[in-house]
Amino acid sequence: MSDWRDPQRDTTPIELDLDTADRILSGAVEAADAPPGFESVVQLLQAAAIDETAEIEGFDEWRAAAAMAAAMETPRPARVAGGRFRRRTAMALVCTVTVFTATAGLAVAGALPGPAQDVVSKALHHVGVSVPGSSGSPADDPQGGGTGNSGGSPSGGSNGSNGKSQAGGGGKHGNAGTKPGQGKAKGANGGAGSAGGSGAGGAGDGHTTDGGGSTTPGNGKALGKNKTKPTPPGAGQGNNNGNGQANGLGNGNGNGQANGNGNGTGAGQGQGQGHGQGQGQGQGQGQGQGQGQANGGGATGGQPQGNGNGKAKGNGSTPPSQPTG
Amino acid sequence: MGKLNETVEPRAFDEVLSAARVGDVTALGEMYRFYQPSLVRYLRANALDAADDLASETWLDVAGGLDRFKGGEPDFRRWLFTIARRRLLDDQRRITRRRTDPTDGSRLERSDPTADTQAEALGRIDSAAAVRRIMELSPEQAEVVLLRVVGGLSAEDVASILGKTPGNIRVIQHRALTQLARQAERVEQ
Repeated sequence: MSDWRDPQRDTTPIELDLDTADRILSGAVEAADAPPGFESVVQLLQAAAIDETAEIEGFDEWRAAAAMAAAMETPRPARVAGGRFRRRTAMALVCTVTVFTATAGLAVAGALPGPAQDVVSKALHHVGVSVPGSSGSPADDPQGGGTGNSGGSPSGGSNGSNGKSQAGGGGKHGNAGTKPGQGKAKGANGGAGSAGGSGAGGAGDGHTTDGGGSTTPGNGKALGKNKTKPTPPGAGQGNNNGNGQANGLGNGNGNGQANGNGNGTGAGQGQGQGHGQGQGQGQGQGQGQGQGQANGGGATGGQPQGNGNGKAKGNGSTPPSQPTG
Repeated sequence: MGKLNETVEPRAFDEVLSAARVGDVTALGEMYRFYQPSLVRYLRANALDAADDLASETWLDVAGGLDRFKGGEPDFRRWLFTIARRRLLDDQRRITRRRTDPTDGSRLERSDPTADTQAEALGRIDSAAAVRRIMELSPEQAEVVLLRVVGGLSAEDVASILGKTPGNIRVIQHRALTQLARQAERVEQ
């Protein structure tokens, strides 16, 4: 390569167009036909193109071809990696299913440790599977469980402090707290009609139906399908129209929801019948008479109690509440 | 330079390729025999000592991707040299990382420019010497000329391999030939 710094460097322009250069490199131009000054270049390129390597021996050719054929048959690493990945994924899936099944089985049997049992119970509760909690109650849910059934006692399974509770499955009505309900009731049958004297936090209705107690309308929301009509403030007379449901497994702070199918009687005059779960809480003056059974959570009787914070747990029948009002 | 344009008959190439795809050793050997010389010369110009190993790696790569290859003979040639160039660049990176490798003495001996000049002046330059003269060009020019002359590739194919436009390749090869002509003039003087 000539050095451009060389003062002796020949700077005479050499005429060559792009096409000719391309033809020279393609081997289409012989040395005799090359442009002036490019004869030696053509010779040089011809020499470079000549294959002076020793002829490939048959054995070398066969060996190379055999190696290529073997390479074509060998699985590629990516495919191998993909297979491993699938196997690992399958193993992980099997393990996960196994663990889940075992955990669920233990949870159904109530054999898990308390906290774990509660966690699993809640988790399965969300998917509609009833698994007892650590206390033995199905879905010890402060928001009310879905297990309110035809429970007997009007109950106010509620969570006044949290302002949320769910109505359970269907008592006619229940007693609730004396304070205006602040909870939300979700249930098939809407809010609980409260009876009687205890001013029930009509969680289901969004209104408290007061018996002889508080006449303040509740603030709860009923998300149930059937809402109970607000019970007008009563003077000690309960309303038996409550269809509200609640689960008796809630905490009530006087903002409870009526659970079950109970009838509450307010102010001592009301009568409640029904089946329910939970606790009636409130400061009712009335009395509820509940007939029914509490499912899941052991319901306290229809005795309205003010500001209770208890949880209803356990299984058991709720005794009919006695009118106290 | 007619050998540069020598290619496998298109129909024959298709038949050979079809057989090679299914692992036919005879077809693979036929392809190897046809392309290996130019492949080795191209690699030897850039990596004298590792040329044979790089050629073997190139053929193994070809075997691994043969089932996915589509095209005719020019496409195969371009694909082959594309793989070879990648192996070559890998090797050069490896060498760069190991700068402690001693230089082969025989290589120094062969790169004696005086011998080439004398031989060229007498019009008796051999293939290896000619390639060495080409390698005295700038790396870009040398690569273009080698791929065109030794690899038997078109300007378009070279452009594809090097990631440049055909017009760019034409300019580079024009400059390369001009440079070679000036070198030849100096030798004659």
